[in-house]
Amino acid sequence: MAESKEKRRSFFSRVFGNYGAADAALGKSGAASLCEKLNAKNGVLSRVRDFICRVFTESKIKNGVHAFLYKLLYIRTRDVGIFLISAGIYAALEYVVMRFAFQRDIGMGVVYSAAVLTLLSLFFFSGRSLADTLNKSRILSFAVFDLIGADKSKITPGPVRIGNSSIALLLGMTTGLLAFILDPAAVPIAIVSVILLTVILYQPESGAVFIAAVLPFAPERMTLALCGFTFASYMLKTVRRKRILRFSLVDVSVMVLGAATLLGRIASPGGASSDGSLYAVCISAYFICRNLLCKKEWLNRAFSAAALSCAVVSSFGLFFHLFGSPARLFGSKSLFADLAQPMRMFFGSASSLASYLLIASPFLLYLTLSGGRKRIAYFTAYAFSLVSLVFTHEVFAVTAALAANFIVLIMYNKKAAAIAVPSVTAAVAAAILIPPSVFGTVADAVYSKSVYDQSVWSGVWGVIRNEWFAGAGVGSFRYVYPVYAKEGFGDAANAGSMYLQITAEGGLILLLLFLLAAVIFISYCVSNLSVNADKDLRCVIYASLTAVFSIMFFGLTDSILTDNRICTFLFFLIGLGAAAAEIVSERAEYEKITMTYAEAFNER
Amino acid sequence: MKDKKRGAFTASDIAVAVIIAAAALFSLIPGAFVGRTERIVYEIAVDGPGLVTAGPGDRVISLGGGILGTVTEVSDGRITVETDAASVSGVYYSDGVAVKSGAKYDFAINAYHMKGTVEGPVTVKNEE
Repeated sequence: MAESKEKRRSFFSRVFGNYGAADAALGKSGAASLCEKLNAKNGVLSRVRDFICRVFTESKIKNGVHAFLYKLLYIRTRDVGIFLISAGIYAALEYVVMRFAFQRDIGMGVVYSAAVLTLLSLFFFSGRSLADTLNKSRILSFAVFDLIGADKSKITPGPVRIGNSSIALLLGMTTGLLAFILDPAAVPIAIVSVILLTVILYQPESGAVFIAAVLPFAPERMTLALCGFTFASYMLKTVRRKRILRFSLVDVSVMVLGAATLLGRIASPGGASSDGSLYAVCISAYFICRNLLCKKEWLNRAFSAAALSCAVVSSFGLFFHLFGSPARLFGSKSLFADLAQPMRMFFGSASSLASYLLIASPFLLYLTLSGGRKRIAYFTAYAFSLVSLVFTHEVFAVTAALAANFIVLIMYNKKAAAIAVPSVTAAVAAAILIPPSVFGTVADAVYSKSVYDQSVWSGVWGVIRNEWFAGAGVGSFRYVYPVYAKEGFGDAANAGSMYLQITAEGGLILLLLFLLAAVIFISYCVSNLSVNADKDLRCVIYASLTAVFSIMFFGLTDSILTDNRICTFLFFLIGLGAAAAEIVSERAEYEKITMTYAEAFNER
Repeated sequence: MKDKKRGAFTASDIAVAVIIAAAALFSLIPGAFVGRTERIVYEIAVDGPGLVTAGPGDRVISLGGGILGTVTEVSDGRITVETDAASVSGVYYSDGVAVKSGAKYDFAINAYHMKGTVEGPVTVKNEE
């Protein structure tokens, strides 16, 4: 009877829903014991661990920085405001004097920084201590405790212990006056960075949330450094047995992919010293999420941080794209001037921005679908991200987003199929009604890209034919490609397709490992979706699946992974999905065991 | 009770197949708009120096990727270029680069970087 009531599984879930069996087979093999050994106490490892523990707990530098930062919590909030406003005002004065008295241009960046610092100072006018303000201000409390996840019990409200407005004014003045050699925003940024790095050192989970939040706005090197630092903090915690290494089939596939890219990079001719395609560093983002975000509250924090930064990128990006940069806005010469240009805010290239939106926008969609009071705000942000995607002029990215969203929506709710089929069919049929001029414009854009891509692909095919097995070396594309390029296409920065780029650089081996990792991840997610899971966790899994599908579609016509920030974010997201699936699977296992015990108890 | 006979695919499988088919159909759009390939002739007004290095027979390479054509004549800050181009909804494309009056290019002739604008009409060369 129970069997007849069992829901019919679609072809898709039958193909991808067998992760459990494969994982069990791996568990039976000797490989699984490797992780257990690493986590277990044994001779050499134990001595290394003791040494690291001692160095860490007794380090005078660490303890000194910690004590200094702790003292900073009890300075008067108004002093911070005085520092910020004096730095801002003196920097602006410095700019005016340099520009008009000495005819020396020190760049508009100083003015922007001064404006930001002055605006920021308005939030720091309270006479209470900083710890008090952090606890009472809604915005700061949300950012520090809810988002970054700082321990509220350690930042207890208390009276002002250090209060000296004159020193704050003097420091602010010095910072502002040094604007011609140092950006005034650099000093507060440096202080905030030290605080954040300390937080990450004590709590690597905050690093993961922080990566999701700042990725679109931080420079590439900073993102990668943050990724590396968080990973190192996590490893330190693992060695000190405060965190554990997880080990299942999905992790093995990514681990092997990471090892292969690292080897491919070392072996590449001149590639090891080049700056592009740092896949191995980017892949560490997966392990950060997978191992550190295995609790629902941390997962939700990272999910919200990614959704929030996507909303900011879409809203501000769209605003600047339509009305121009602040400088142009104040000049009010040419509003809507950039409409003919592809939108590329925060990423420098339209295709990178499109890839980011493809990965991050599903977060907003599933936050909308999960309901709650903020549903309208999430939907508005999602709509903004889709409009931004259209403004990137990446026609294939829009197609990929629509296809992936529809496919995963059908998985999310079977009723969506009843809406999707007629609407997609109607949309294809309605193409006849679109004016030829509009259709022609799209066709022009698609045609020129296809001809360009095909010409580049013919050159890349030459590389693949010559180095089909192990590839030319990870990161070596720019050195090898020109040799095989078709005349007029030797300057191409990438292969114009994610799959061709991987094959050209890492050969068939890396391509197979990449596809295997993707299939295993999809299988892991789909297998755990059949379980009656928590609504929020299901949303994380669906969002990750949508993003992976979108990227796999868009990857056919774009080398997405050559942008290190996008590559990091993609693996970060895969880790997020895998962590959510792991929590679902653990809960299902726990429920199963509880039921077995309950049945055994009842029988007795 | 007799079980209803069920097919191998569910409604969601069919929906997914329809969506993938629609996406594939979309990728064929450019093909529908591509007209015949013709030999076209047009003139580029070159900004700045560097033109002295160009001569008939040299290839004009777009720095964005693609060959704009072959130089047939050099005179008075202008070059006449000839190429095979496909017509897509009324616009000619040489190697995927749109060739139309007023189009601006960054290009190279004999490895010299130049900038220029298409001036005058783009004409189809009649083969005799």
